[in-house]
Amino acid sequence: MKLLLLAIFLSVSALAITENELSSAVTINEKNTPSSGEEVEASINVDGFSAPGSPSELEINEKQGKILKYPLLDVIATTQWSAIMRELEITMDLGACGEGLKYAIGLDSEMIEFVGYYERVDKPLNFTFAGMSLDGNIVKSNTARESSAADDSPRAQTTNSHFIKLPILGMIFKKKLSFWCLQEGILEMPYISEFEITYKHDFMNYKMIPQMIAMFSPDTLISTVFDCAATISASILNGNAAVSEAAFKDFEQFESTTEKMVSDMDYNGDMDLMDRVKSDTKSILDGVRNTLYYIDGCNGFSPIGGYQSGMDPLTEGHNDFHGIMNILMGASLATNSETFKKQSNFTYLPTSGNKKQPEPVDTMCHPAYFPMPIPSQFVLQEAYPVVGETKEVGQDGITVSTAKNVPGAEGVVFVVWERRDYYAFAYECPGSGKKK
Amino acid sequence: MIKVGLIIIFLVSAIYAKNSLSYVDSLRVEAKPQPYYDFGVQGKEYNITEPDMYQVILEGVSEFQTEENIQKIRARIKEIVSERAIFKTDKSSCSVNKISKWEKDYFTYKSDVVNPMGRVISKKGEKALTPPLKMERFLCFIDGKDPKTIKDQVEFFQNKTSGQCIYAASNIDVRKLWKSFPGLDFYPSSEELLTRFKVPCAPSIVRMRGSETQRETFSIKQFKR
Repeated sequence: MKLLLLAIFLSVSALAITENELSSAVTINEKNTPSSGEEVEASINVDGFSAPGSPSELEINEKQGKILKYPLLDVIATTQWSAIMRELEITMDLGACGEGLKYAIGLDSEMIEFVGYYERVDKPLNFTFAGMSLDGNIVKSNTARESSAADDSPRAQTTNSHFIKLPILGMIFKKKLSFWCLQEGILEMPYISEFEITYKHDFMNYKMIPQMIAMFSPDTLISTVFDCAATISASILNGNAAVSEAAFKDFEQFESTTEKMVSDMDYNGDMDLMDRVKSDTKSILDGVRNTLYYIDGCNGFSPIGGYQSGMDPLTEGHNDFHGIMNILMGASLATNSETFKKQSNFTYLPTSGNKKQPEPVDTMCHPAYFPMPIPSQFVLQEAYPVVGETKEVGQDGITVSTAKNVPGAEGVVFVVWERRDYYAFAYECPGSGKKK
Repeated sequence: MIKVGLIIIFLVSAIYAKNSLSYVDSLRVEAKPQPYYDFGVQGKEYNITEPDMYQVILEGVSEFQTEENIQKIRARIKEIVSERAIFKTDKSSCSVNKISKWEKDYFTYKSDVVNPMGRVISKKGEKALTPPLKMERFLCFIDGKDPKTIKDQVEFFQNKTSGQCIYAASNIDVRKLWKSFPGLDFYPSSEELLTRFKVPCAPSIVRMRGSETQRETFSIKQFKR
């Protein structure tokens, strides 16, 4: 009964912000799309690569007075870098990591990091994020239905999905910002759907990730209400809803990052109480979202395979990422991928009198293998065809894509942000000499 | 007598406890956060000399974004795609024709699975039957060690499965297969696929119906060059 009341309350809250989101989405579209007169990036010719972009597409863009930029060609303009400072929280709560000589004390902290791009594109082997195509036109069509309509599912078509791990910050700063423990490495592409046998064949998913299939039933459908409400509420708390502009201004009011950090660390009565209430609420919402790991917030069940209706590329791309995240966490038997690990703190939805209730592994000192989706650990930000603001995984279509889909665009590209809860200065991060 | 003694001890403890609580309460009152007061400035003021972290990040990213770096990234993408398009294996091609019995298809949970109420419904390491398929499906493993046999292998499997095969190819770039056999579905094979379906070698076929699987291998010698 209590849960039902909570769901109703959260749903009402979610509906209340929807109208704001709608107007905000339209504003953002106008604001963030580069205006005419800027350099056209659509005609790049590099040895061995053909240039994506058809004349019709350019024509449309010129008519609209808008020019599409491939994210890699303008990383600054296509990324909402302010998210880093907005999500950075350092508290005075202490914690310890390591044993013996490696014992270290750190501060309980939260951060978010740019980890790469996720894209969903029409043409095979077309890497829109970098503005390049590898002869995708001559490859088989990837938009045909698989088998008959009555067989696998009523979903209409599939395109191609790529996850590109590109830890830009780690590549640039390496050891300079060591307390952040930025992810390092070079560009990797752990998910290229053209080479993934599970992406277009649902029966292969039956064989490869049966634990997810087992969760899909009419009984669990009711959970979508809770998950949607929790996702919307989390987006408000994290500043990823319509109020995000206000949150951005909140960051802007400080003259420098240092001042903001000092402000966060202040121990002054009411503000501190508010922070703690916010933190506790966020923890409950994360618990709901991650317990209902097989649901993609307001978009229904996590997609198994790459089929979507094709009506709303941005929302479908958002939704598709949930399924890809599942595989990148290592949930599929088809891959050994451990691209993503658990690095955020949460507990499963509490139940009374349940002695068997599991507790996820603690990752305050180092990341851990955790082959289940963790929606609260990731944030998506539109980078192409329009530059948008950061959104929680599972936010509904109205907040994600209204008035943002651009006809003729070469798919959609999102910047993928990954959160981490950790003990700053004590975290056993790779490359810091504190390897686990 | 003992009872009286216990009562006295209890009363003394209660008084001490009450006093202690009062002490804690008074501490709480004193420690309660108070609003800030502006006491002005004393001594010399120093400006922050460290650069703003946010600006440092933006400047770093700007410096990173050079034409040279973009070209390096593009070259790396091309390299990765070429690597991923082919599954190379030293495993020998099949040398005999052999067919297995239909077997129940079990899988092992890689982690605990929790239901909406947070209860564990499956433990890590437990074995379970895969969900049943509605119709028979075919997964065909072809071997490209001798590329000249590929055409015959594909035609053989197309006939064998009435064109219902999904192909997992070893030792050949699947992009070549996409071009040579338009309309057919080719993917690079992988160690995970071979392990999951217990495929000993290629060319072979895995049939799936309901929750059962069957494997059949074919000698490479029977395919024309």
